[in-house]
Formats: sequence, C-alpha cells, structure tokens
Amino acid sequence: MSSPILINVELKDALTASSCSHLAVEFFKHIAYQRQQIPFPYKQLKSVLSRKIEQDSSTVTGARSCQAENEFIKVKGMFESMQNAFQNLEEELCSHEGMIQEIAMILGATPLSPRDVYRFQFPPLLLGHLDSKHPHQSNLLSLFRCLISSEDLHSFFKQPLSPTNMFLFIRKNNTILATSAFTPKERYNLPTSGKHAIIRLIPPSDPPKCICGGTNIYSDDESDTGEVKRPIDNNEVENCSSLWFQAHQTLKGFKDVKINGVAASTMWLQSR
Amino acid sequence: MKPVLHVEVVQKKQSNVLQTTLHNYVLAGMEARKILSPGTTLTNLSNELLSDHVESIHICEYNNEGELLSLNVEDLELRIHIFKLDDEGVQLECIDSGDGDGHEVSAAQHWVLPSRDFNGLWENLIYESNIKENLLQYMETTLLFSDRNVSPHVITWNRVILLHGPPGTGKTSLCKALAHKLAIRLSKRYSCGQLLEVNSHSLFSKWFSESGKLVMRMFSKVKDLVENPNALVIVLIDEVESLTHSRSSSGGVEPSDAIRTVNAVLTQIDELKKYPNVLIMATSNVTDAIDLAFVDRADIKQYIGPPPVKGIYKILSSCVAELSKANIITPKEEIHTFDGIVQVQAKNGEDVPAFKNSLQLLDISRQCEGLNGRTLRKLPYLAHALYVQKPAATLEEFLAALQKVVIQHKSEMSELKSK
Ligand SMILES: Nc1ncnc2c1ncn2[C@@H]1O[C@H](COP(=O)(O)OP(=O)(O)OP(=O)(O)O)[C@@H](O)[C@H]1O
Ligand SMILES: [Mg+2]
Repeated sequence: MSSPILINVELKDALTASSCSHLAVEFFKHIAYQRQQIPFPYKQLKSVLSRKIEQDSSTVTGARSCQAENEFIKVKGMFESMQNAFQNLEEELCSHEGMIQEIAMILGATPLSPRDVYRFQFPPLLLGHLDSKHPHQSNLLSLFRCLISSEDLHSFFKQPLSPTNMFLFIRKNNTILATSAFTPKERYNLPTSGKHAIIRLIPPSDPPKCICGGTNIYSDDESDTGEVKRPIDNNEVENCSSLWFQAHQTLKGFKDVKINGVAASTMWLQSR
Repeated sequence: MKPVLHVEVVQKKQSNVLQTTLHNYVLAGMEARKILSPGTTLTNLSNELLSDHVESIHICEYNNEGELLSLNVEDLELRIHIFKLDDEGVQLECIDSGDGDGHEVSAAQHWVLPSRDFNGLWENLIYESNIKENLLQYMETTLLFSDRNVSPHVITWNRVILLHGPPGTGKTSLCKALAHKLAIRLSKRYSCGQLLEVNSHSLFSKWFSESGKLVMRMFSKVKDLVENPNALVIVLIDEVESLTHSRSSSGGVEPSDAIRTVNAVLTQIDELKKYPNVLIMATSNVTDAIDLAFVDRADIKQYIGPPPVKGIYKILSSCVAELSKANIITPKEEIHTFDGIVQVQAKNGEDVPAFKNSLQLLDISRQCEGLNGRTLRKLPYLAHALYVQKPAATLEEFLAALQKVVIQHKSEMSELKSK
C-alpha cells in the first residue's frame, strides 16, 4: 500500500456550493476518461451520442449494423446514468441542507475492493452568493492546472485499468438528503487498499471583493446543524462524526468496441 | 437463560434511518405482536414507520426445527439483525495478467454481502438433521475465538471447511448461503461481509499455470480485503478437485509448473489462515480424488448427501407452494407438514379427504429417495412441461403428473447406468 498522493489546489475566487459541485463533476469526468472508463473525453462522447441520435436510424440492416445499434443502446444507457448521477451530485451539493464535507469516487469491482480512490475535499462552502457574479471559470482553471502538472497523478494514470465500476460517495455529518439518489452506508469507511489521491481545494483566504452581496456565511454554521447520532462503530478513529453515503447509481466503465475491426462509434456516424 | 430467536430485517435501500433507531422500532413491533411464527417472512407491515423503511422481516427457524409453531415473545431472547441487501450482484475482480501490455484477467467473483442474490437461499436448502445449523455455529465460533485472540496453540479450531459429496447436492449453494448468513449474523461485529469465489478451473488453466505469479497476485488481492479488520472475508474455492488433476495429469502444462502453482495456492491458504477475519470454504464432488495436501488443511470435512425423505417432501412442497403463488396450481390447497402427515399415516387416517394430496406427495417423496436436490427442483418443471401442459391445473392433476415424471426419471436413470 503506497501512501496517498495529495494535490492542493489554491483557488483564486470564492468557493460557492455551485462552483464546488461544478469542479467536482468536471474532475470526475476527467478521471473517468484518464482511467479509460470512457473511450473519449466526456464532452466528445456526449456529442458523438447526440449526433447519432439526430441521425435518422429508422432501419437497421445487416448483422454488423445491428451489432453497432445494440452497442449504441448500451452505451447510451450507461452515459445517461452517468449524466444522471452527476446531476444528482450537483443537486445534493447545492442544496442548503448540504453540508457535504467530502466527495469520493472509487474505481473497482466493489466499493470494498478499490483499484483507485479519488477523494475530493473542500472547506465549508459559501452560501448566498450569486453564481452569475462568480463564474466557475477561474476556479476550474486553477484545478486543471494543478491536475495536469501533477507528476504523481500522471504515474497513477499510467497503470492499466480495464473497464470497471465507478462508485460515487459523499460524506456528511447528518442524514438529511435533498435528493433520494444517495443511501447512507453505516459503518462504512473508505478502504485503505488501492491507490489513493486526495484533491484538496483551498479558497483564497482573502477573496476578491465581492460585488454580489453574498455574506460569508458558511454552510455548516452551528445554527443549522441537526445533531447527528454517531454510527455505532467504535473502532474508527477517522471521521467518526460523519457518515458516507453511496450514490444509488453505479457508473459502468466501457470501451468503444470494435466490430469487425471498425470502432462502433465510427459505425454509428457512418451514413447509410 | 431464554432461548435465542434470530430476526432478520431487510432495510429498504433508500431508507436513511440509522440502524440503532430502526432496531428499537422493530423490537417494539415484535413485542407488540406477542406471538411469533418461526420460519415466516413478514412483508406487509402495518406500522407506518416500519413499512417506510423495512422491506421484509424474517423470523428465523427456531431450535433448528423447521415446522411451524408459535412462540411467545416473552419466553425468548430476540436477536434482531438489521441490514440492507446489496443489489449490485456479482462483480469480477481482475488482476494484471503480467504479459506486459496491460491486459487483465479475471481472477475471482466478488459479492458484497448480504447480497440479494442469496436472499432466501439458506431457507430453501434442506438437509439431514442439523448439518446447516452446525456449520453456521462452527463458523461463528471460529470468528469469535479468533476475534478475541484465543491462542490457536491452546485450543484448536476450524478455519477451513470442505464440503464434499455427489453432484447437485447443493454444496456450492450451501457455501454461498452460509457466507450470506454469517454476514447477517455478525453484522454487529463486522461492518461488511464479502464473498470471493475463486474458480479453481481458471486458476489452473494454462494461463495461470504458467507461473505461480498470478496466484500470488490473486491472493494479494484477497489480502488487501482482509487487511481491514472490520471486513469479514469468505473465500470460496469451488470444485477444488482440479487441484489434484493439475498435479497428476496437468492437462498439457509442464507438470513442474502445475506443481509449483498448486504449492503456491497451498502456501497462500496457510498465509490467509493467519488473519482473524477470514474463512475458507471449499467444495468437491469427488472425495477420494482431492489433493491430500488440501484435505489435510481442511479443518471440517462435511459430507453433503442427497436429502432424506423429510427433506425431499419439504423441497417438493416448496415447489408446490411456489406454483400456487404463480396461480399455476389452483385452487390453492394446503400441504401439511411432514411430521404431521407421517403421524396421520401412522394413525391410518388415510381416508380423510383433507390429507389425500399430502399423503400422495409423501408417497412420491419416498420414491424420490436418493435423488439430489438439483434433480428434485427440476421435477415439477418437467411434470408441467410433459404431463400438465396447460396454464392452470389442480393440485391433484399436478401430483399425478409429478408421479409420472418420477417413474420416467427413474427408468431413464437405470437405462443410463446399464449402458
Ligand atoms: N438439499 C437441497 N435442498 C434444496 N435444494 C437443493 C438441495 N440440494 C441441491 N439443491 C438445489 O440444487 C441446485 C444445485 O445446487 P449446487 O449447484 O449448489 O450443487 P453442487 O453440490 O455444488 O453441485 P456440483 O457438485 O455439480 O457442483 C441448487 O439450485 C439448489 O437449490
Ligand atoms: Mg458446485
């Protein structure tokens, strides 16, 4: 077991709930591609699929195009559930009941046997800021600059990984959820096996002067904390006051399969 | 000391009530009921909170007796186990194949326990006397002793069990059901249970035999899981006889390679045994041919044979109940318990119409003696396909068909044998 790699990301703009959720989702999309769980970058995959949908595909003839069509239906389903899961994550993070302390994505056959663990950590989020006054661009840039320049992360990505499952987790200190997309995993703790990377967002200590009128209220101010009962476990030292929640939707990694030597995605876009 | 009755509560997946809270509600609910019937499963829960958060409540069989009877809650110590079922099902664990270009091979099948795949499996496996319950007790004691650091030099106990017996007697199913049960019963001690099924055929395929390295890599995967002291890990090595085959015949692989692989497996098993939270189960359907070195490592060697008449009766009545549920046998008619019907027969109550069908089923069960569970569970299907051939039949018609199938099956078997 190697010790986790730590990537500190110093942000330039204030970290609101919505910008944080945006960063997290973009990060996980990046990981999915870099770890060969999706065959193209997320955006490109999305455009391939929507171009195929726009095409008129009323008749399918021949075994090969039938196979390509089946593949398309499968991939479309997996992509949609990915889209869905990310949407739920954003919703959960932006809700005022949020108080999410950490997000994690586990790659592996089960959440107990991870190959890779990516933990996305951030300080308490600011509420009440207007998103229009705080575009995500600057923070996103800082994040990706750090990701791309990290040697450690590169060595991570070099290890081969065949398509497997991706599990999304959030950690919080109460059981109030905004969506029904997550389920509490009592007494679950992230396994120590596999390779771990921690991404830690650090907002500026002195954020640029705010013009949107948002006060610096943090989402976990004492006043709005519902007291939580601890999980029954007594052996955990770490995070004993908080609980992991697993997303119902498990994301499946997939490849762009070859049909008689031609990539399925190429066949989708061939005009018939 | 009050006798213990286990109550298994399946919590709904999306329920976010903490288990301690739910525990108290269930306990209160059970106490309010006053009378419990062991072996039953409650699914329609009237209590609002329970119906929001609980999928089903199973009252386990009491004192190893399957027959229904009613018990007074006050006389019992209720052990309530609350858990969620894993819906993901089996997952493949892959390891680097070592061919240098990043290919991976699947090494084991991995279930997170308790799994929906195995829900109800235990209840539907029926054996002579208390085989099932005793195995469960052995395993629980093993885990307790090793968890409490009882010195294995002072008291020896069992960590490796081998189930052997003829084909189709439910050995593989029993291992899975045991693992599932253990994960439920010990959920207070272990935060998660896992079953890893290592297929020894693939382990000894040419691919694997090329070097002991893949075996090592696979077991190091298992060790990763076992490192977590709060994880209960059950390793199932199915059809372990291929160990011997690979040693003697080695199927085209260099024999020295095969021996090296077998030795690697045995050493790895020894290593695994040092961990307190692991159990190893193995199955085999050829007892004499199992590798001696492996047999030696097994602490419990349990023979699993075909079910006795009582078991056959239970299996067939569970089939009838299932078909009644699906309205393939209508109208619904009651099948009596085995003990009840045997008594009726002893008292010459044969002419009472209410017992007629049950008595015929008993008769069929006697004729089926010696058949294994896999065949038994197929008979009702054959009966329907060959002799019923309509979407709904009465129990009487169905039993007549079943009778024909049994006779046909037996003559087919004797033909096969004479050839
Ligand atoms: N005693 C039994 N009671 C109820 N069902 C049984 C019994 N024995 C076997 N079965 C049924 O038979 C089927 C086959 O069981 P299983 O595959 O576990 O047998 P096995 O002993 O592992 O066979 P093999 O030796 O061929 O691998 C299962 O679906 C199981 O439900
Ligand atoms: Mg088997």
